[in-house]
Amino acid sequence: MISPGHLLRRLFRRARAENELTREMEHHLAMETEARIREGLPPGEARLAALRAFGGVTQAQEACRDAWGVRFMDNLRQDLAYSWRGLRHNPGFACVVILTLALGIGANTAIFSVVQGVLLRPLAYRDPNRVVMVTQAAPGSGQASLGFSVPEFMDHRQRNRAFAAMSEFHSMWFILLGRPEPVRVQTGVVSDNFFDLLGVKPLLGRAFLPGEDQIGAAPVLLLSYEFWQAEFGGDPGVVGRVFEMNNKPHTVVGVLPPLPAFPNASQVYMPASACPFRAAPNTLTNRTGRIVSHVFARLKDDVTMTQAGEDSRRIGVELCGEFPESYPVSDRHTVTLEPVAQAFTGDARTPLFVLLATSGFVLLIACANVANLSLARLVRRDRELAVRAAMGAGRGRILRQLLTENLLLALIGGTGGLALAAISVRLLVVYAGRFLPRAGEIAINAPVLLFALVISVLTGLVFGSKVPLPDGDALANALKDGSRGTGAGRTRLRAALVIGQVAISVPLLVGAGLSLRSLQNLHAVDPGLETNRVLAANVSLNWSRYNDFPTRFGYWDRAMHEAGKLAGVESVALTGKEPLNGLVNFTIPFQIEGRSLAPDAVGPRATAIVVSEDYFKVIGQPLLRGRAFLSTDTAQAPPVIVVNQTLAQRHWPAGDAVGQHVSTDNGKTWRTIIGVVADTRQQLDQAPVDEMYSPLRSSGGVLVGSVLVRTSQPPELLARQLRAALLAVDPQQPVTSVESLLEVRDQTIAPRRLTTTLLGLFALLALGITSAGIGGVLAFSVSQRTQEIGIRMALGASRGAVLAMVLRQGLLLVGVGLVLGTLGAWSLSHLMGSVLYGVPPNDVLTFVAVVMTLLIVAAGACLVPARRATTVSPVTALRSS
Amino acid sequence: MPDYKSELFQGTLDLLILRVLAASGAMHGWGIAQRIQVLSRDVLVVNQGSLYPALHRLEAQDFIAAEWGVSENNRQAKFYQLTRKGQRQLADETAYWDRFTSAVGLVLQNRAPASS
Repeated sequence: MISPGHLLRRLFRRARAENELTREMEHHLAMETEARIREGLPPGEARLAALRAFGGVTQAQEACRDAWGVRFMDNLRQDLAYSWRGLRHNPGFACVVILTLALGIGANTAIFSVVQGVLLRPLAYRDPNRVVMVTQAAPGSGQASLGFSVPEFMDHRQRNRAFAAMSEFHSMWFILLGRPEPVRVQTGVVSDNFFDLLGVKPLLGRAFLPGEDQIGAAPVLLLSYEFWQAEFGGDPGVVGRVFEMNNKPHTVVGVLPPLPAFPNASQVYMPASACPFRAAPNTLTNRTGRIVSHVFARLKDDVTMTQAGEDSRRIGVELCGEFPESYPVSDRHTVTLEPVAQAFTGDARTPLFVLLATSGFVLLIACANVANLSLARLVRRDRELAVRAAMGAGRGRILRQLLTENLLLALIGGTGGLALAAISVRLLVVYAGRFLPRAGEIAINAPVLLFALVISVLTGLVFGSKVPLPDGDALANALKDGSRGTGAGRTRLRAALVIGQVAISVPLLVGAGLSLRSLQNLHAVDPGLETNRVLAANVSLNWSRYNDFPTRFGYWDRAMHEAGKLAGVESVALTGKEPLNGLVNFTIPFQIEGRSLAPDAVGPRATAIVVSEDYFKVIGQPLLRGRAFLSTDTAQAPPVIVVNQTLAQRHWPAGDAVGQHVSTDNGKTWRTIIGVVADTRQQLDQAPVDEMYSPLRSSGGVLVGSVLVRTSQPPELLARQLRAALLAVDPQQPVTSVESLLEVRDQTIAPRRLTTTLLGLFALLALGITSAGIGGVLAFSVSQRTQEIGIRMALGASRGAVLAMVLRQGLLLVGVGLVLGTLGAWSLSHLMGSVLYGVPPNDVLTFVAVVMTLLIVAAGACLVPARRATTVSPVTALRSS
Repeated sequence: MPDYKSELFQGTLDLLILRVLAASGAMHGWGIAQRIQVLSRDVLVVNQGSLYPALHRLEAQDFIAAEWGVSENNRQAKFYQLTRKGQRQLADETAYWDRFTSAVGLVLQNRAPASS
């Protein structure tokens, strides 16, 4: 083994060692020469003989340096310096390569940082793989997630044998008093063991104590990290302070560390007993009052997911047997488990992996391009390499030097890519925060840096590995004057790279095309209402102050009145459910007079929406039959109802819905259908659902409502005035948000738009890089064939024939690539099925458009070098050799 | 002429250098080459191109140490000397070489009747 000390000495005494080596060799030659002279040779010949006997002095010196063991570092330094000089002399090449790689690596790093933050990074829970969500569904009644009632949750908690702990969760907003202004806080209502279950330790103070979720316990609060920072500026003195909520004092007992916004973003947490809705006597006993929206559980150490799922299903079956009146057979109740990590990402998983794959493809295309460029450069460098080989550089040494150069380029490109990623990630987080619970965790962190480094190095190796070195003969040829030094192997490789680029571009463009078509389809969807001229102000009434029908109605009445006084407002209405906001969709069962159901048949359900008289007029929902509501449709008047067309068609296909009677309270009161309105969509990408409208003035009062104003000018201009008008009605009552229906509509397709934009960007990038690649290869081929083209033209080939010849050469490659790419895309596109809307994955139009686009762009890229070929002058071409 | 490129020779050259240095104290490269040639009665001609890399390799492994001095004809020369580590290495290598050659000899003796 070479001792480290020796290595170090050698490293630091580099210059001296070189000097000594030369002197040592010189001494040997002098001794040898003297020996020859003693043998009788004349001095001049003796010297030559000594040199001959020695062999290659330089090679021997090289071998000695190798023996020093410092070759590696030394070569690296030398190679780096050499590469740097080479690149500086060839700035065009360096810039193109670095830019291409920066784009490719940047795109990958940005998307990876999202995937890493959202999907790969372990949750901020202890042992998150053991945490599951328990879900109750009733597919028979069309409900994917029922939630749990308090009795159901308690039964599951007592009867299960699989869980070490179970906790309930539901989210409520309350008004917190004690700050300069009343604050509406989104509150997570949980069992006292919630944070122990998740393994989350409070940053300050303590978590909830056992027993604090029992009815009658003193109300306590835990603040989320974000709320603590935003509202209290991170003041640790907040622990122990008391705030009024729901007419009761609540003591802050602690502050939580940053947590993912799951199931939604909670600003504060309280134990179940502190929530007035959860603690109401009726809620505690009503088996179908399903207030608990999420149930968290931690598996016992020795229990598998499958066993736990089986156990929960058993309890569900037991309950169905014991309480048949609460679980109609037709509802087909089920209880299932889902790993918490999966519940987190939900719909985001597929688009994210599509994006990651796409950005990976872009990088591959970029690599192919850079490989092509390096190959072209290598051909021009054949003579340089041959000289270096002749000067004693080994094959391995040359290969190492080329690899160093590639790695240097890739690392510079990677650094640029990291900068690009850092900028784009900030934008991505802002955008993705709306639909990804963990968007806050997206950052350029150590794993992302490592990823960028690894892909940079891999990129350098990938585009460098395919460089076929010239063999001995080729080297010798390269030294001969006027040699072209091009090998058939390299030409084939370059052709293969172009075919590969085209082939990979096809699926990218198809993906972007399909996504774009989906988005277009969504934009073209007519939601059935006016979105351009309607502004919505959302208000969640403080229930403890507006605790009965007259006070609530009084607020809405005054709010509508004030809003109506604003200049530019044409009409005003109120609704209990903001149009186009399909995130909350609550259906209720109803009965139709005169129709009886088979015992196990599914009863009808509908979304119930409370609206004021002018609602249909304000949002422009046409009345198809009968009449709309009047201000006389009060609680004292005969009960009336309006249904939408989908509901009317479903139950009265003959068109005689008006005048029929329905009940939503098992036949205690029957309400007359007085009108049928056209369908509107609650979500753009979903068909209209059954809807049932009841008049505001006969309802129990709306707690969460949207004041809608129809304006004569762009609605955004009125936003501030509308908010001010509502605050004037009650300064203690916050206004949650003011937004135009156009904004609401846009928000519903925001995730899709982000995905489509990114896919489109990647596809454009791929298209640009590929066309540059095609053009580059062809241009190089033309420059290599100048002489041949000159001869052809001298022999009478027309310009058209030369043009056609070059174009044919280029388009042949493109054609092969297109065929391969189309086949690949055809078999891959079904993976995108779940994120498409209104377009099949194998949409022929998209495929044709993509193929045509690529063909046209490729033809354009081929045209430039082809035209240059036609300008070759036979005379100069023949002389140039 | 022996094939100097063979693996065997490389190891053998190292052994010969160590042996020569063990017998005669500090020597310079040319002197070592001469001594090997003389001791082998001109059978082994050391290729200078492999001599110096071998010396530098042995030096890097701390089997020999080098020092600049003045040679017999008043020239500056690099003199090599066996280290303690080199002495041990020489003993090991010599023992290995003896085992190796006697083993090869045994095989070759076996061949004798057939080849006559």
